[in-house]
Amino acid sequence: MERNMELDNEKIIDNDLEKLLAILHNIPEEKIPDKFERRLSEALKEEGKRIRQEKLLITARKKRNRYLKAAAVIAACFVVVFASLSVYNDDIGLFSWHNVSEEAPVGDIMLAAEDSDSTAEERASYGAAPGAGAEKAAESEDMELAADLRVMAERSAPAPSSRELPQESDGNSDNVDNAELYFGMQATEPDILCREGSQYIKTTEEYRNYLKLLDEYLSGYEYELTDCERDSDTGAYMFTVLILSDPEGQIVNVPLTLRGEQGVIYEQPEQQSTEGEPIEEQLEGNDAEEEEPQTGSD
Amino acid sequence: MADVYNEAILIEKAKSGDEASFELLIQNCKTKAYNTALRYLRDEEDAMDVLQESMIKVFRHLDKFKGDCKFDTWVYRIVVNTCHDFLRKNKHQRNNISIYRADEDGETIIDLPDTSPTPPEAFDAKLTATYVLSCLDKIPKDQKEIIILRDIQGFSYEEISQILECSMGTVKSRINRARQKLKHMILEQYDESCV
Repeated sequence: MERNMELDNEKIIDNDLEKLLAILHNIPEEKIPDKFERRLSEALKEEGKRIRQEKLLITARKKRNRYLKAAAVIAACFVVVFASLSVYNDDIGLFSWHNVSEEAPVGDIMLAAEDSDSTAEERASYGAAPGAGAEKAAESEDMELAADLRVMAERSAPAPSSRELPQESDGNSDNVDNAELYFGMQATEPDILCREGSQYIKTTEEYRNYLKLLDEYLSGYEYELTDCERDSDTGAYMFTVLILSDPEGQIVNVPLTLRGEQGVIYEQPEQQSTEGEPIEEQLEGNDAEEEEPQTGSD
Repeated sequence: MADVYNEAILIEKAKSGDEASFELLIQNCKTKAYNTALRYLRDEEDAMDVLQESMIKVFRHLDKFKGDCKFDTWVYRIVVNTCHDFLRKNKHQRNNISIYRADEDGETIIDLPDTSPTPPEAFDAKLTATYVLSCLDKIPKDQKEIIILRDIQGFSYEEISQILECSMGTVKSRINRARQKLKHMILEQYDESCV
Protein backbone atom coordinates (compact mmCIF):
# COMPACT_ATOMS: atom_id res chain seq x y z
CA MET A 1 0.00 0.00 0.00
CA GLU A 2 2.81 2.36 0.98
CA ARG A 3 4.82 1.31 -2.08
CA ASN A 4 1.90 2.17 -4.33
CA MET A 5 1.65 5.56 -2.73
CA GLU A 6 5.41 6.23 -3.37
CA LEU A 7 5.07 5.25 -7.01
CA ASP A 8 2.11 7.55 -7.34
CA ASN A 9 4.11 10.36 -5.82
CA GLU A 10 7.05 9.74 -8.20
CA LYS A 11 4.71 9.78 -11.14
CA ILE A 12 3.23 12.98 -9.93
CA ILE A 13 6.72 14.41 -9.43
CA ASP A 14 7.84 13.37 -12.94
CA ASN A 15 4.71 14.82 -14.38
CA ASP A 16 5.37 17.98 -12.44
CA LEU A 17 8.92 18.19 -13.84
CA GLU A 18 7.66 17.81 -17.36
CA LYS A 19 5.12 20.52 -16.78
CA LEU A 20 7.75 22.68 -15.16
CA LEU A 21 10.11 22.32 -18.12
CA ALA A 22 7.28 23.04 -20.51
CA ILE A 23 6.47 26.23 -18.64
CA LEU A 24 10.12 27.29 -18.61
CA HIS A 25 10.47 26.64 -22.34
CA ASN A 26 7.32 28.57 -23.05
CA ILE A 27 8.27 31.70 -21.19
CA PRO A 28 7.93 34.32 -23.92
CA GLU A 29 10.94 36.30 -25.07
CA GLU A 30 10.70 39.95 -24.14
CA LYS A 31 11.34 42.61 -26.75
CA ILE A 32 14.06 45.14 -26.09
CA PRO A 33 12.46 48.52 -25.30
CA ASP A 34 12.93 51.15 -28.00
CA LYS A 35 14.37 53.66 -25.57
CA PHE A 36 17.15 51.18 -24.87
CA GLU A 37 18.08 51.05 -28.56
CA ARG A 38 18.60 54.80 -28.62
CA ARG A 39 20.46 54.75 -25.32
CA LEU A 40 22.75 51.99 -26.46
CA SER A 41 23.38 53.68 -29.79
CA GLU A 42 24.49 56.91 -28.10
CA ALA A 43 26.68 55.05 -25.63
CA LEU A 44 28.30 53.10 -28.46
CA LYS A 45 28.98 56.32 -30.40
CA GLU A 46 30.77 57.79 -27.39
CA GLU A 47 32.72 54.63 -26.88
CA GLY A 48 33.61 54.44 -30.59
CA LYS A 49 34.95 57.98 -30.48
CA ARG A 50 37.03 57.15 -27.43
CA ILE A 51 38.39 53.98 -29.04
CA ARG A 52 39.38 55.85 -32.21
CA GLN A 53 41.21 58.50 -30.20
CA GLU A 54 42.94 55.80 -28.21
CA LYS A 55 43.97 54.01 -31.40
CA LEU A 56 45.40 57.25 -32.79
CA LEU A 57 47.36 57.78 -29.59
CA ILE A 58 48.65 54.24 -29.63
CA THR A 59 49.66 54.56 -33.28
CA ALA A 60 51.45 57.84 -32.60
CA ARG A 61 53.19 56.32 -29.58
CA LYS A 62 54.24 53.29 -31.59
CA LYS A 63 55.56 55.52 -34.37
CA ARG A 64 57.47 57.62 -31.86
CA ASN A 65 58.89 54.51 -30.21
CA ARG A 66 59.93 53.23 -33.62
CA TYR A 67 61.75 56.49 -34.37
CA LEU A 68 63.38 56.45 -30.95
CA LYS A 69 64.48 52.88 -31.46
CA ALA A 70 65.91 53.68 -34.87
CA ALA A 71 67.69 56.73 -33.48
CA ALA A 72 69.13 54.67 -30.64
CA VAL A 73 70.37 52.04 -33.08
CA ILE A 74 71.97 54.67 -35.30
CA ALA A 75 73.59 56.36 -32.29
CA ALA A 76 74.89 53.01 -31.07
CA CYS A 77 76.33 52.30 -34.52
CA PHE A 78 78.05 55.70 -34.53
CA VAL A 79 79.52 55.04 -31.12
CA VAL A 80 80.77 51.63 -32.19
CA VAL A 81 82.28 53.00 -35.42
CA PHE A 82 83.84 55.94 -33.58
CA ALA A 83 85.28 53.67 -30.91
CA SER A 84 86.58 51.23 -33.51
CA LEU A 85 88.27 53.99 -35.49
CA SER A 86 89.73 55.45 -32.32
CA VAL A 87 91.13 52.12 -31.30
CA TYR A 88 92.46 51.50 -34.78
CA ASN A 89 94.09 54.88 -35.28
CA ASP A 90 94.52 55.98 -31.68
CA ASP A 91 95.16 59.44 -33.04
CA ILE A 92 92.75 61.30 -30.83
CA GLY A 93 94.31 60.05 -27.68
CA LEU A 94 91.02 58.65 -26.46
CA PHE A 95 92.44 55.26 -25.75
CA SER A 96 96.05 56.24 -25.08
CA TRP A 97 95.21 57.41 -21.58
CA HIS A 98 96.73 54.33 -20.05
CA ASN A 99 100.16 55.15 -21.49
CA VAL A 100 100.12 58.56 -19.92
CA SER A 101 98.53 57.52 -16.69
CA GLU A 102 101.07 54.80 -16.17
CA GLU A 103 103.82 57.38 -16.15
CA ALA A 104 102.51 60.80 -15.30
CA PRO A 105 99.58 63.11 -16.05
CA VAL A 106 99.85 65.13 -19.25
CA GLY A 107 100.36 68.32 -17.30
CA ASP A 108 103.35 66.83 -15.58
CA ILE A 109 104.97 65.52 -18.70
CA MET A 110 107.09 68.64 -19.15
CA LEU A 111 108.40 68.36 -15.65
CA ALA A 112 109.02 64.70 -16.11
CA ALA A 113 110.82 65.44 -19.35
CA GLU A 114 113.01 68.02 -17.64
CA ASP A 115 113.79 65.64 -14.84
CA SER A 116 114.62 62.88 -17.17
CA ASP A 117 116.65 65.04 -19.53
CA SER A 118 119.92 64.02 -18.09
CA THR A 119 119.13 60.36 -17.88
CA ALA A 120 117.59 60.27 -21.31
CA GLU A 121 120.50 62.10 -22.82
CA GLU A 122 122.96 60.01 -20.96
CA ARG A 123 121.33 56.91 -22.20
CA ALA A 124 121.16 58.36 -25.66
CA SER A 125 124.83 59.19 -25.61
CA TYR A 126 125.76 55.78 -24.34
CA GLY A 127 123.15 53.48 -25.57
CA ALA A 128 122.52 55.09 -28.92
CA ALA A 129 126.08 54.59 -29.97
CA PRO A 130 126.64 51.70 -32.29
CA GLY A 131 128.91 50.06 -29.73
CA ALA A 132 126.82 47.55 -27.89
CA GLY A 133 129.10 47.64 -24.90
CA ALA A 134 128.09 51.23 -24.12
CA GLU A 135 124.74 50.13 -22.84
CA LYS A 136 126.35 47.74 -20.46
CA ALA A 137 128.74 50.43 -19.37
CA ALA A 138 125.88 52.84 -18.73
CA GLU A 139 124.08 50.25 -16.70
CA SER A 140 127.12 49.55 -14.62
CA GLU A 141 127.56 53.30 -14.03
CA ASP A 142 131.17 53.17 -15.00
CA MET A 143 131.30 56.63 -16.45
CA GLU A 144 134.86 56.67 -17.61
CA LEU A 145 134.53 53.41 -19.39
CA ALA A 146 131.31 54.63 -20.88
CA ALA A 147 132.95 57.78 -22.13
CA ASP A 148 135.74 55.78 -23.71
CA LEU A 149 133.33 53.46 -25.36
CA ARG A 150 131.31 56.37 -26.59
CA VAL A 151 134.38 58.00 -28.14
CA MET A 152 135.23 54.80 -29.87
CA ALA A 153 131.75 54.44 -31.12
CA GLU A 154 131.67 57.99 -32.44
CA ARG A 155 134.84 57.40 -34.35
CA SER A 156 133.50 54.31 -35.96
CA ALA A 157 130.18 55.80 -36.90
CA PRO A 158 128.71 59.29 -37.26
CA ALA A 159 127.02 60.45 -34.10
CA PRO A 160 123.32 60.62 -34.61
CA SER A 161 121.36 63.54 -33.35
CA SER A 162 119.21 63.16 -30.33
CA ARG A 163 116.20 62.80 -32.56
CA GLU A 164 117.85 60.14 -34.60
CA LEU A 165 119.07 58.16 -31.71
CA PRO A 166 117.32 54.86 -31.31
CA GLN A 167 115.15 55.28 -28.29
CA GLU A 168 114.95 52.79 -25.57
CA SER A 169 111.47 51.81 -24.74
CA ASP A 170 111.65 52.78 -21.13
CA GLY A 171 109.38 55.29 -19.51
CA ASN A 172 111.83 58.17 -19.33
CA SER A 173 112.59 58.29 -23.02
CA ASP A 174 108.89 58.05 -23.71
CA ASN A 175 108.36 61.01 -21.46
CA VAL A 176 110.90 63.08 -23.37
CA ASP A 177 109.28 62.13 -26.64
CA ASN A 178 105.88 62.90 -25.29
CA ALA A 179 107.05 66.28 -24.04
CA GLU A 180 108.42 67.14 -27.43
CA LEU A 181 105.31 66.00 -29.15
CA TYR A 182 102.94 67.77 -26.82
CA PHE A 183 104.83 71.01 -26.36
CA GLY A 184 106.63 71.30 -29.68
CA MET A 185 110.04 71.35 -28.07
CA GLN A 186 113.01 70.25 -30.07
CA ALA A 187 115.77 69.34 -27.65
CA THR A 188 119.01 70.25 -29.39
CA GLU A 189 121.28 68.49 -27.03
CA PRO A 190 125.01 68.48 -27.60
CA ASP A 191 126.66 65.23 -28.54
CA ILE A 192 128.97 65.27 -25.59
CA LEU A 193 127.65 65.76 -22.10
CA CYS A 194 129.59 67.68 -19.58
CA ARG A 195 130.56 66.00 -16.37
CA GLU A 196 131.42 67.25 -12.98
CA GLY A 197 133.75 64.83 -11.32
CA SER A 198 132.40 61.43 -12.18
CA GLN A 199 128.80 62.60 -12.62
CA TYR A 200 127.33 63.89 -15.82
CA ILE A 201 125.49 67.14 -15.30
CA LYS A 202 122.52 68.70 -16.88
CA THR A 203 123.11 70.58 -20.12
CA THR A 204 122.88 74.29 -19.53
CA GLU A 205 122.72 77.31 -21.74
CA GLU A 206 126.18 78.26 -20.55
CA TYR A 207 127.57 74.95 -21.76
CA ARG A 208 125.92 75.43 -25.12
CA ASN A 209 127.42 78.88 -25.45
CA TYR A 210 130.87 77.51 -24.70
CA LEU A 211 130.33 74.86 -27.34
CA LYS A 212 129.49 77.60 -29.81
CA LEU A 213 132.64 79.48 -28.83
CA LEU A 214 134.62 76.28 -29.25
CA ASP A 215 133.21 75.84 -32.69
CA GLU A 216 134.11 79.39 -33.64
CA TYR A 217 137.51 79.06 -32.05
CA LEU A 218 138.35 75.95 -34.05
CA SER A 219 136.70 77.13 -37.24
CA GLY A 220 138.44 75.60 -40.21
CA TYR A 221 139.77 72.73 -38.20
CA GLU A 222 138.24 69.36 -38.29
CA TYR A 223 137.96 68.30 -34.72
CA GLU A 224 136.16 66.04 -32.37
CA LEU A 225 135.10 66.89 -28.87
CA THR A 226 136.08 63.94 -26.76
CA ASP A 227 135.45 65.18 -23.25
CA CYS A 228 134.15 68.05 -21.20
CA GLU A 229 134.56 68.53 -17.50
CA ARG A 230 133.29 71.33 -15.34
CA ASP A 231 135.22 72.47 -12.33
CA SER A 232 132.70 72.71 -9.57
CA ASP A 233 134.81 75.21 -7.61
CA THR A 234 135.59 77.73 -10.32
CA GLY A 235 132.77 76.90 -12.72
CA ALA A 236 135.25 76.59 -15.58
CA TYR A 237 134.75 74.12 -18.40
CA MET A 238 137.61 71.96 -19.62
CA PHE A 239 137.08 70.80 -23.20
CA THR A 240 139.23 68.04 -24.57
CA VAL A 241 139.25 67.96 -28.35
CA LEU A 242 141.09 65.94 -30.91
CA ILE A 243 142.16 68.01 -33.88
CA LEU A 244 141.76 65.70 -36.80
CA SER A 245 142.95 67.95 -39.61
CA ASP A 246 144.08 71.51 -40.11
CA PRO A 247 142.45 74.05 -42.45
CA GLU A 248 144.66 72.83 -45.26
CA GLY A 249 143.26 69.37 -44.83
CA GLN A 250 146.36 67.76 -43.42
CA ILE A 251 145.68 65.14 -40.84
CA VAL A 252 147.25 66.04 -37.57
CA ASN A 253 145.46 64.08 -34.84
CA VAL A 254 146.61 66.37 -32.09
CA PRO A 255 144.78 66.44 -28.77
CA LEU A 256 144.02 69.86 -27.39
CA THR A 257 142.63 71.08 -24.11
CA LEU A 258 140.60 74.28 -24.01
CA ARG A 259 139.36 76.11 -20.95
CA GLY A 260 136.18 78.09 -20.87
CA GLU A 261 135.46 80.46 -18.05
CA GLN A 262 133.91 83.87 -17.57
CA GLY A 263 132.56 83.78 -21.09
CA VAL A 264 135.95 83.28 -22.67
CA ILE A 265 137.47 80.18 -24.20
CA TYR A 266 141.18 79.69 -24.55
CA GLU A 267 143.75 76.96 -24.84
CA GLN A 268 144.72 75.35 -21.60
CA PRO A 269 148.44 75.24 -21.34
CA GLU A 270 150.20 71.97 -20.57
CA GLN A 271 150.19 71.33 -16.82
CA GLN A 272 153.61 69.75 -16.99
CA SER A 273 155.92 72.66 -16.11
CA THR A 274 159.37 72.76 -17.64
CA GLU A 275 162.35 73.10 -15.44
CA GLY A 276 162.79 76.57 -14.09
CA GLU A 277 159.70 77.96 -15.89
CA PRO A 278 156.63 78.73 -13.81
CA ILE A 279 153.23 77.80 -15.08
CA GLU A 280 152.19 81.42 -15.28
CA GLU A 281 154.99 82.18 -17.68
CA GLN A 282 154.14 79.25 -19.82
CA LEU A 283 150.58 80.44 -19.92
CA GLU A 284 151.69 83.94 -20.77
CA GLY A 285 154.02 82.65 -23.45
CA ASN A 286 151.34 80.49 -24.85
CA ASP A 287 148.84 83.24 -24.69
CA ALA A 288 151.10 85.45 -26.66
CA GLU A 289 151.52 82.80 -29.31
CA GLU A 290 147.92 81.87 -29.50
CA GLU A 291 145.19 83.87 -31.03
CA GLU A 292 143.18 86.27 -29.01
CA PRO A 293 140.49 84.55 -27.03
CA GLN A 294 136.99 85.12 -28.13
CA THR A 295 134.33 86.44 -25.96
CA GLY A 296 131.12 84.55 -25.62
CA SER A 297 127.87 85.82 -24.51
CA ASP A 298 126.27 84.35 -21.46
CA MET B 1 31.07 30.34 -43.98
CA ALA B 2 30.05 33.67 -45.44
CA ASP B 3 28.57 34.67 -42.09
CA VAL B 4 31.82 33.84 -40.34
CA TYR B 5 33.71 35.84 -42.97
CA ASN B 6 31.37 38.78 -42.55
CA GLU B 7 31.61 38.49 -38.80
CA ALA B 8 35.41 38.58 -38.98
CA ILE B 9 35.27 41.70 -41.16
CA LEU B 10 32.80 43.37 -38.82
CA ILE B 11 34.96 42.50 -35.81
CA GLU B 12 38.03 44.03 -37.45
CA LYS B 13 36.11 47.20 -38.29
CA ALA B 14 34.62 47.39 -34.80
CA LYS B 15 38.09 47.01 -33.30
CA SER B 16 39.09 50.27 -34.98
CA GLY B 17 36.14 52.02 -33.30
CA ASP B 18 33.45 51.70 -35.99
CA GLU B 19 30.25 51.66 -33.94
CA ALA B 20 28.03 50.90 -36.95
CA SER B 21 29.90 47.65 -37.56
CA PHE B 22 29.60 46.80 -33.91
CA GLU B 23 25.86 47.38 -33.90
CA LEU B 24 25.53 45.02 -36.85
CA LEU B 25 27.68 42.53 -35.01
CA ILE B 26 25.49 42.44 -31.90
CA GLN B 27 22.24 42.62 -33.79
CA ASN B 28 21.56 38.88 -33.57
CA CYS B 29 22.52 38.30 -29.97
CA LYS B 30 21.17 41.47 -28.43
CA THR B 31 17.64 40.23 -27.71
CA LYS B 32 18.80 36.98 -26.21
CA ALA B 33 21.33 38.82 -24.08
CA TYR B 34 18.64 41.18 -22.87
CA ASN B 35 16.31 38.31 -21.94
CA THR B 36 19.11 36.52 -20.10
CA ALA B 37 19.78 39.65 -18.07
CA LEU B 38 16.06 40.12 -17.50
CA ARG B 39 15.65 36.56 -16.13
CA TYR B 40 18.68 37.04 -13.92
CA LEU B 41 17.67 40.39 -12.50
CA ARG B 42 13.91 40.29 -12.94
CA ASP B 43 13.85 44.00 -13.50
CA GLU B 44 13.59 45.73 -16.84
CA GLU B 45 15.67 48.81 -15.95
CA ASP B 46 18.36 46.77 -14.30
CA ALA B 47 18.45 44.45 -17.30
CA MET B 48 18.88 47.42 -19.65
CA ASP B 49 21.66 48.89 -17.50
CA VAL B 50 23.48 45.59 -17.39
CA LEU B 51 23.05 45.02 -21.11
CA GLN B 52 24.39 48.47 -21.96
CA GLU B 53 27.36 48.00 -19.67
CA SER B 54 27.99 44.58 -21.19
CA MET B 55 27.90 45.94 -24.75
CA ILE B 56 30.27 48.75 -23.91
CA LYS B 57 32.62 46.19 -22.35
CA VAL B 58 32.42 44.02 -25.46
CA PHE B 59 33.11 47.01 -27.73
CA ARG B 60 36.02 48.22 -25.60
CA HIS B 61 37.67 44.83 -25.18
CA LEU B 62 37.07 43.49 -28.66
CA ASP B 63 40.83 43.12 -29.06
CA LYS B 64 40.74 40.39 -26.43
CA PHE B 65 38.36 38.22 -28.45
CA LYS B 66 40.63 35.48 -29.78
CA GLY B 67 38.01 33.58 -31.74
CA ASP B 68 38.31 30.39 -29.69
CA CYS B 69 34.51 30.37 -29.37
CA LYS B 70 31.61 31.97 -31.19
CA PHE B 71 31.34 35.71 -30.87
CA ASP B 72 27.78 35.42 -29.53
CA THR B 73 28.88 33.00 -26.83
CA TRP B 74 31.60 35.42 -25.79
CA VAL B 75 29.00 38.20 -25.55
CA TYR B 76 26.69 36.03 -23.40
CA ARG B 77 29.58 35.19 -21.11
CA ILE B 78 30.20 38.89 -20.57
CA VAL B 79 26.51 39.52 -19.97
CA VAL B 80 26.30 36.72 -17.36
CA ASN B 81 29.42 37.98 -15.58
CA THR B 82 28.10 41.54 -15.60
CA CYS B 83 24.82 40.27 -14.10
CA HIS B 84 26.79 38.60 -11.33
CA ASP B 85 28.68 41.82 -10.67
CA PHE B 86 25.44 43.79 -10.65
CA LEU B 87 23.78 41.42 -8.21
CA ARG B 88 26.81 41.48 -5.95
CA LYS B 89 26.92 45.28 -5.96
CA ASN B 90 23.19 45.68 -5.34
CA LYS B 91 22.83 42.81 -2.93
CA HIS B 92 22.48 45.03 0.14
CA GLN B 93 20.17 47.52 -1.55
CA ARG B 94 17.78 44.74 -2.46
CA ASN B 95 17.83 43.33 1.03
CA ASN B 96 17.31 46.68 2.64
CA ILE B 97 13.65 46.94 1.65
CA SER B 98 11.83 47.21 4.94
CA ILE B 99 9.11 44.76 5.78
CA TYR B 100 7.96 46.90 8.70
CA ARG B 101 5.40 49.67 8.67
CA ALA B 102 3.41 51.48 11.30
CA ASP B 103 -0.38 51.35 11.52
CA GLU B 104 -2.72 54.17 12.53
CA ASP B 105 -2.19 53.51 16.25
CA GLY B 106 1.55 53.57 15.84
CA GLU B 107 2.01 49.86 16.30
CA THR B 108 4.48 48.13 14.09
CA ILE B 109 3.09 45.53 11.78
CA ILE B 110 5.11 43.28 9.50
CA ASP B 111 4.39 43.00 5.78
CA LEU B 112 5.28 39.56 4.52
CA PRO B 113 4.87 39.26 0.76
CA ASP B 114 2.84 36.19 -0.01
CA THR B 115 3.87 34.74 -3.36
CA SER B 116 2.60 31.28 -2.62
CA PRO B 117 -0.59 30.08 -4.28
CA THR B 118 -3.77 30.33 -2.41
CA PRO B 119 -5.14 26.96 -1.21
CA PRO B 120 -8.17 26.75 -3.42
CA GLU B 121 -6.09 26.99 -6.56
CA ALA B 122 -4.78 23.81 -8.07
CA PHE B 123 -1.12 23.05 -8.73
CA ASP B 124 -1.54 23.23 -12.49
CA ALA B 125 -3.18 26.54 -12.24
CA LYS B 126 -0.38 27.89 -10.11
CA LEU B 127 2.32 26.63 -12.40
CA THR B 128 2.39 29.87 -14.24
CA ALA B 129 5.52 31.48 -15.51
CA THR B 130 5.46 34.15 -12.82
CA TYR B 131 5.18 31.61 -10.09
CA VAL B 132 7.98 29.47 -11.47
CA LEU B 133 10.26 32.47 -11.87
CA SER B 134 9.56 33.54 -8.30
CA CYS B 135 10.49 30.05 -7.13
CA LEU B 136 13.60 30.23 -9.27
CA ASP B 137 14.81 33.13 -7.15
CA LYS B 138 14.79 30.90 -4.08
CA ILE B 139 17.21 28.27 -5.32
CA PRO B 140 21.02 28.77 -5.21
CA LYS B 141 22.51 31.19 -7.69
CA ASP B 142 24.53 28.68 -9.75
CA GLN B 143 21.46 26.47 -10.13
CA LYS B 144 19.30 29.40 -11.07
CA GLU B 145 21.67 30.57 -13.78
CA ILE B 146 21.90 27.16 -15.37
CA ILE B 147 18.09 26.83 -15.45
CA ILE B 148 17.89 30.25 -17.10
CA LEU B 149 20.51 29.39 -19.70
CA ARG B 150 19.32 25.90 -20.48
CA ASP B 151 15.57 25.74 -19.92
CA ILE B 152 14.55 29.34 -20.52
CA GLN B 153 17.07 30.63 -23.07
CA GLY B 154 17.65 27.24 -24.70
CA PHE B 155 21.45 27.25 -24.95
CA SER B 156 23.14 23.98 -25.77
CA TYR B 157 25.31 22.19 -23.25
CA GLU B 158 28.44 23.20 -25.16
CA GLU B 159 27.43 26.84 -25.23
CA ILE B 160 26.65 26.78 -21.53
CA SER B 161 29.99 25.18 -20.77
CA GLN B 162 31.69 28.01 -22.71
CA ILE B 163 29.59 30.74 -21.13
CA LEU B 164 30.14 29.48 -17.59
CA GLU B 165 33.67 28.28 -18.35
CA CYS B 166 33.20 24.79 -16.96
CA SER B 167 33.09 21.28 -18.38
CA MET B 168 30.07 19.81 -20.11
CA GLY B 169 29.74 17.11 -17.45
CA THR B 170 29.55 19.77 -14.79
CA VAL B 171 26.85 21.52 -16.79
CA LYS B 172 24.76 18.36 -17.09
CA SER B 173 24.98 17.45 -13.43
CA ARG B 174 24.24 20.99 -12.37
CA ILE B 175 21.19 21.14 -14.65
CA ASN B 176 19.86 17.93 -13.19
CA ARG B 177 20.36 19.10 -9.61
CA ALA B 178 18.89 22.52 -10.39
CA ARG B 179 15.75 21.06 -11.94
CA GLN B 180 15.19 18.76 -8.97
CA LYS B 181 15.75 21.63 -6.61
CA LEU B 182 13.29 23.86 -8.46
CA LYS B 183 10.67 21.14 -8.54
CA HIS B 184 11.00 20.51 -4.80
CA MET B 185 10.85 24.22 -4.16
CA ILE B 186 7.58 24.50 -6.09
CA LEU B 187 6.13 21.51 -4.23
CA GLU B 188 7.21 22.90 -0.87
CA GLN B 189 5.60 26.20 -1.64
CA TYR B 190 2.44 24.40 -2.70
CA ASP B 191 2.34 22.23 0.47
CA GLU B 192 2.84 25.28 2.66
CA SER B 193 0.00 27.05 0.90
CA CYS B 194 -2.23 24.00 1.43
CA VAL B 195 -1.46 23.97 5.13
